[in-house]
Amino acid sequence: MIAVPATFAWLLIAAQSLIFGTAAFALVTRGLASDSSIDFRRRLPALWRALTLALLVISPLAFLEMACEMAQTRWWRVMPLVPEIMRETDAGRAWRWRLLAVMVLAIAAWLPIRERTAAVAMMLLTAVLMLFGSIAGHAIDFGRLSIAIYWVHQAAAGLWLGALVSLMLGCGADPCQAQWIRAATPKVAALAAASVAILTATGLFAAYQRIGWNLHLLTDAMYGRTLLWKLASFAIVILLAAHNRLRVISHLDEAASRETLLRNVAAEIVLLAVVLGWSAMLANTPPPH
Amino acid sequence: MRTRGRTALTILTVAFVLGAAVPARAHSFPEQESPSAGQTLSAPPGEVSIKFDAPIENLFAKIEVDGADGKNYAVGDPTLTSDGRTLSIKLGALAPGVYTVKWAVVCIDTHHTNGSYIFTVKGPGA
Repeated sequence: MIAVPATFAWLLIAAQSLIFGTAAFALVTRGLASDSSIDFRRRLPALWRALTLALLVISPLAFLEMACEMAQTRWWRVMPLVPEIMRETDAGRAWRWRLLAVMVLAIAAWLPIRERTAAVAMMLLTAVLMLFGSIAGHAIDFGRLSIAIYWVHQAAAGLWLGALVSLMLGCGADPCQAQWIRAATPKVAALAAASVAILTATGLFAAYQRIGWNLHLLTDAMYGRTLLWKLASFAIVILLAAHNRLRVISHLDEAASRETLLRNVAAEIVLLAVVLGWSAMLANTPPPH
Repeated sequence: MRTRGRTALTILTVAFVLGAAVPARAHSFPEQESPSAGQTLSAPPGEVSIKFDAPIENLFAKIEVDGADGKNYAVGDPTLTSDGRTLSIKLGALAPGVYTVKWAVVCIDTHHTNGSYIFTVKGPGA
């Protein structure tokens, strides 16, 4: 039964990707005129606080679920084993540091610090969380290069998702909204294009490592079928993003185009959340043997 | 020129990333057993060892060697080599017969695998 651990993994991946990506976008858009980005910068700390609180709640539950999988037992029976698991297993040691990083992240989100310092702190701490996520997952079976590649994969997904959510977050009332969309959209498009290239390369790397040229495993094994669903969802997001880039972005002076863009961006966010859901399923599905 | 440079960089990056990929296995499954699966031995072994294709966690490693009478003939706790891949356990005196090795391990990626295989100890003059 992978529904529960996959749900926890999905929430963790989504929350840390969003913090990482929005923090990165805040740094990328620092040079924009303050009147156009006022709503974005006002709403960002609240988003980070909500997401770090979610991480604080979900992380211990996800750790316990992983401990249950390792010990092949239920939550109430695994409790006495928790200190041993944290001390004696690779994943337990990674989780010990991961939980500490989540606590530091939550504190940093509530500290009254300068916007740039907060963004750098959010980005670095979620980067650390992604690294521990890579260490306690399938990537560790394949060595350090795989851990690094999986980390880059997560970071690229975070940059894309964060840029899209940031664009929506900065939308208030006109005329600020129109200024924000015109100023921020080219940066979102550039980040999205880079992310797609990185996600494609790193995704192919991971898929080849796990499946090789045994293409029948894509349809015969649960891992392969889940991967196909992820690829199909990813392809739809790319098509939508390409439509925005080729048809919508060039007409952002028109209010109708801006509305279309926001509608499409909202759809992209939902679809990316679905892709992250498939990633969480893959993280909890044994690669074919 | 700038676009060409970017394209070349992208192609090089993709080529490097894909070139570095080597198909491998996730989760821990036996790569080599001693005695091996299905082997018939003329003398009883002193221990059973299994080499896995990925490192395992010592904390959750289990191995037992059951005789036809259902009794576990393994003695003491299993030991794991420093690379985390070879699990061994000492055996008591084995009489001639068929023995089933049952193993259950947790890979360092936290996932559980288990399995079993048999070997046979021949009697004197058999």
